[in-house]
Amino acid sequence: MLINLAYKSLLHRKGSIILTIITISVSIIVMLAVDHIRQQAKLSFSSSVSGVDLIVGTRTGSLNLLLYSVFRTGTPTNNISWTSYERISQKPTINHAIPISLGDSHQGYRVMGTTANYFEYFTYSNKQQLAFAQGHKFEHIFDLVLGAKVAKTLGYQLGDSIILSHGIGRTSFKNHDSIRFNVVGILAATGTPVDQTLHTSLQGLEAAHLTKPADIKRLTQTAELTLSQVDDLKPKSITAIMLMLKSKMAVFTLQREINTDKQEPLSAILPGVALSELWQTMAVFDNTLHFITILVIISSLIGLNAILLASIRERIHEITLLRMVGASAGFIFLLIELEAIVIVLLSTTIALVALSFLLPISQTYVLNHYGILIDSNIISKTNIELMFYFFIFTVIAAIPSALSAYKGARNSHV
Amino acid sequence: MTIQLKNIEFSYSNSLQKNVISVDDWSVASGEKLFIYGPSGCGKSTLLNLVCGIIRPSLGSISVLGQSLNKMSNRELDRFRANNIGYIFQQFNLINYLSAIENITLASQFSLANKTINIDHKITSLLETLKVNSEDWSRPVNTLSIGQQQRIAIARAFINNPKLLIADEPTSSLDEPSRDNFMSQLTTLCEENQTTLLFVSHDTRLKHHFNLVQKFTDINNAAGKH
Repeated sequence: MLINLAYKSLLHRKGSIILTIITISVSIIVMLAVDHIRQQAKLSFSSSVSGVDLIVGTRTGSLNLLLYSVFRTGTPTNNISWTSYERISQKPTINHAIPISLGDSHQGYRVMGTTANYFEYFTYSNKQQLAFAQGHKFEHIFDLVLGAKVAKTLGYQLGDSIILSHGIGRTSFKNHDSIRFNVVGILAATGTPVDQTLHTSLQGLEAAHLTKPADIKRLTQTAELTLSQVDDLKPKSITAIMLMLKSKMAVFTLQREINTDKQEPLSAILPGVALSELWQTMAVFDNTLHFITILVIISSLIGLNAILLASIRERIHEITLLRMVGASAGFIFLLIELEAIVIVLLSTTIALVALSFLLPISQTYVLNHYGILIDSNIISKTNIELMFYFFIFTVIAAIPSALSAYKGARNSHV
Repeated sequence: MTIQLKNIEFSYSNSLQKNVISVDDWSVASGEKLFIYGPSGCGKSTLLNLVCGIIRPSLGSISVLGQSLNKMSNRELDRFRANNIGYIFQQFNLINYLSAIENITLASQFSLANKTINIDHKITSLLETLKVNSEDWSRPVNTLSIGQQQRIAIARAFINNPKLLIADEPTSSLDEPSRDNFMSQLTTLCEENQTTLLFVSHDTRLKHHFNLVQKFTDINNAAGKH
């Protein structure tokens, strides 16, 4: 009887109820989307690097080392010697060591020199490997592999040839214009700083820094030298090393070994720990989004309450009549609560359906423009919790309206 | 006695006037058809609300159908009303988006009276007696005429076989033929069911339908002292 009456009553006022449901749906969409983006931004951020057990750089702070080696912002305080790299990579506990060398740029995007191993063993997110959207990894000395965003923004395609600039500014005074690099590969978007990086071989980067015209001539005249043919072009120094260990157990021992290295002042950091430290410094961003979520919830609950109160004014005769035919105060109370519950459940359903269409559509856009990889699955533990709280708060928020309905019915003079 | 009021005093908490209702001793015997007349706004509806326990008196005791309303909780009052008292008002007797059948069923569901018998059959026969066209039974009542709606209101009031029927200006919005039609149907049903009828109105032309007529100011001491 209660359900039938609530159903008929809602149907009778379908105009205003539909508007209410749309309002609440939009609120729930905003609430879930903001929180989803917050979570995904955090996840995307913390998944910039995974599978790398230690990052080794010169003696510096862990945040600084993380910023320049992973996020490619800021400047390395100093380089580490190639001999240290050779020494560390020989250690028995190490599975793979990837040297990286930063310092050059192209139109504001960083150029990173590394070995071909980088494409094999560097992983991000959930141990995902880098994938090529087009082309392949570098094989020749002047081959270049572009991150997804670099290729997209600058409009480069396979076969284009590019000049690198010395230093990291957008406008550099010194270009390595005697040597042109060829785009041989473009990586698929990852939602990590990899997208904004140009990758080349250490040898290529070394060649770009040669100053004697004779040396440059030797390299550029013999077209398409493979990497193995220019093994003598060893860099004297590199910026950092990414280490993958055979066993995670050895991480702390190795970290201590490297930090106390006698021959060169080095520091090794655990990327996961440094990433969470870095995220903590971005707490303002996190809290702001949290705050927005709370504001959205409050405003939509106030809106729902206003609508319920207005509907009670409109239905005072109906409520009085129900009281006269013997409906208890509890029945009236439940009727109003049930109405609020039906509205919120319908709104939640609509919001979920809408989001499940919207998210996959916006996914590519957000990844390409903001570099955040958003999961199209909105159902996460936190979101279910949010919806649950929203539901509970609705039931609580409807109490004043339901009470006023009951009181109104008692005091009305028929 | 169906209704017995002793030393009743009542005033609305937000009213400047001291007492709206002040009744020393007033009773209605069972099976009576009582007509109370008085001008609008003199407190007739307030007296009816006291009788059915919608409001409680500031002082004094009320007993209806042999039970003291003073001793009942709000919940018990709700039950008591649903089981024993029928109502017809000037307007808003029905939930306007429900059909005649749904309105009557709703009233029966709050009462204990009809749990065993075939309720659908009873609704149909009531609607037939009251000459409501059968094609109008399932339409929302707000699509029907006021005359039809008031007749459905009678059916709704009688569905639980009330021992007491309270009518508060039920004919005010009806034209003359509908009014006479309404009055004769109401009084016939009261006689058939041996229901005590308590009818208030300002319209003294209705007097001849009743066997007992009282002036409101004769019952209520407060009413004359404005």
